[in-house]
Amino acid sequence: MSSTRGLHRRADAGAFVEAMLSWLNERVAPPGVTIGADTPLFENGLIDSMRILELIAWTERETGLTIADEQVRMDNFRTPRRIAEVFVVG
Amino acid sequence: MWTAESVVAQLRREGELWEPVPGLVALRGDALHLFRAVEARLAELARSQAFPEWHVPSGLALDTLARACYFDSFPHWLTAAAHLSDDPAALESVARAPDPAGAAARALEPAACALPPALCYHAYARLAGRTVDAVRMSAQGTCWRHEAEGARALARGWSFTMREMVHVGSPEEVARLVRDGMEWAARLAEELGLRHETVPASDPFFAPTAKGRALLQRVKELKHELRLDIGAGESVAAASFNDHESFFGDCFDIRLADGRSAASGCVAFGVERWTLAFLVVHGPDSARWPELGATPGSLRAEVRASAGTATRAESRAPATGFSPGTVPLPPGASPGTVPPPPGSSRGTVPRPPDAPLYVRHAAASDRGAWSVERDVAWERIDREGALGQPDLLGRLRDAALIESFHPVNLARLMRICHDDIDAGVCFSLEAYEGFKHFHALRRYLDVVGFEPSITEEELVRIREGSQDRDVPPGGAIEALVGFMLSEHLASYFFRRLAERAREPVLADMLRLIAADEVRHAQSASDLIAKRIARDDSLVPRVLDAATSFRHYGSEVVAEVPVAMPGDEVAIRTFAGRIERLCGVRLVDHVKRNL
Repeated sequence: MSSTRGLHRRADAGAFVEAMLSWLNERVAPPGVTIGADTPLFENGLIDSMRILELIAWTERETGLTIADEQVRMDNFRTPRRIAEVFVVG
Repeated sequence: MWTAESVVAQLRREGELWEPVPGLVALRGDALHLFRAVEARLAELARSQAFPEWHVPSGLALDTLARACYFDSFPHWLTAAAHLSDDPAALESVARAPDPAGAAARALEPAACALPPALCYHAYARLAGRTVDAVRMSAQGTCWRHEAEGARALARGWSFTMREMVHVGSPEEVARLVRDGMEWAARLAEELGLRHETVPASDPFFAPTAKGRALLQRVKELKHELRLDIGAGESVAAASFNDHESFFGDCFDIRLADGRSAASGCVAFGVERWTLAFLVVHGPDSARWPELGATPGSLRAEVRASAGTATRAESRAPATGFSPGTVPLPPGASPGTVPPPPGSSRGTVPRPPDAPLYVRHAAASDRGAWSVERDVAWERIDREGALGQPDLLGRLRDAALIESFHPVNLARLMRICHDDIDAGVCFSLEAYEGFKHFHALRRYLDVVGFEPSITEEELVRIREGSQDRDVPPGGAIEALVGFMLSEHLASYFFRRLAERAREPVLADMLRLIAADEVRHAQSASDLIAKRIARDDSLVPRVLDAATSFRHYGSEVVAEVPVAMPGDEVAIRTFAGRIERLCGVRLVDHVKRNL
């Protein structure tokens, strides 16, 4: 598996975050919770071990990347904005 | 009395040993069967101690050795692989030379890669630049060391067979590996009736700049060797136990989650030397090899298993098969320097090659067995220290409740898998070990006085709530996947909790529980693999079951406790378990179903 960033350009980061937030809020957020670009995804238990796989899959689908094992680090998936920084803006 | 020299001479006479090239030994017959049995014992040791097996190639990049500072450490050993030029004219001239072998040797291109002097370099190269938690690997392979003293068949080969177990992680984990490795090796030597001694050692570093490292090794006791007697007052280093501290972590930029360089250590066994020491003590005639019955170390039984056909041993002595029985160790067997700890495992049960799966799992369970009474230092618990981490104790309480649920959960699994004898055995073992976890955790919470204490009424209430739920007919595969992944996450839960527990008795106990959970996940994995091997149309169902996975603990507590939110290693290995079974990347499957 390899990861080369690049299908999305800098201008796409905003759209990526927006799309991710709408997916997260529809599929993941518990009732009454709204996930924002800077919401920590792990600290408050929003994302568990299965959800992280969905998050990786969703990010791969949106960017066209294959995320290598060594990039599966919580630091890279801390918040939606961080995910965009790592995998979209690059 | 046999010596290394007389054993080798005898094997040469019988045609069981010869050297096609000086320093490269070939074996056949009983000597080979013994060699294979030693290999199998070491592979089993690695497996039982939860070292995942790697297949590593027989070549190693020269750059990897440079990165490991090999060239100022052991350049004198280096052997490399080179090939001929692709140039047709050069090939033509070799082909037509009157002495084509000599011409080929002279026409080789510069070496393209090294032949590995040790296997652990593969691990460091593979992990280079990564952040790791704790990575273990084991491999067997051929290693090459060109030693100036010259070769001696089985005692010092230009190439030899190494079984290596490597741990990359925290300094404490590495120190433990080295300690454990010394015990495993000493116990194996005992089982085989070999005279042994474990001593501090150092590597023969080459460059003056590297010689300081040898001194450091001695002073800090970073390297030990187990030496085996090979007669005539001689001994050989047959296993080594090495704490590299952060040397390779620095060289290869392997880091721990907290940013420190990872520590590494390895335990390495030389298969030829174990074979030689055995032959010196017991002689080359397999009929005289010790019959240890079904007690651990029944080399004869394993020799038969590896031979697959009748050996001399079989033709002269009746096979005792796999029934219990003991025969005293042969004369000359040493009483040993490192006795096995109480309650520890005493080796492997020999089994025929077609033994059912449950035999392996029962043996693994036996080897990993620990006692709530004997192996937990109840009297040394630091009560105040424990109560200083109430949050951790709360999670421990939830874990105890989940462990108490096995009679419900495993009963369901037993019913749905009633047609699988292996499954029945695995679940029975797990039911007992799960009970032990519950017993130990609850007792710990009671000893430290954690409130609220667990009551019988509470346990029954939990069970009653789940009484009517059963695995739907035909749902065995999904139930097994759920169980495997629950146990997998449980192993990480207990391991992380052990890392965080400041109270040492608890930390030790949690490590024991975590090791049990690894075995449980593996047995479920084997049961799933067996079903897939029979019917590969189950693969999509395994993938679906993994993506819709719910921990069975969610039936017990409102929120299944998590020791480390976003545990990346737990998650990667979670996906890895499914990928190994299905041959499909789990994320790709999730992607298709988003």
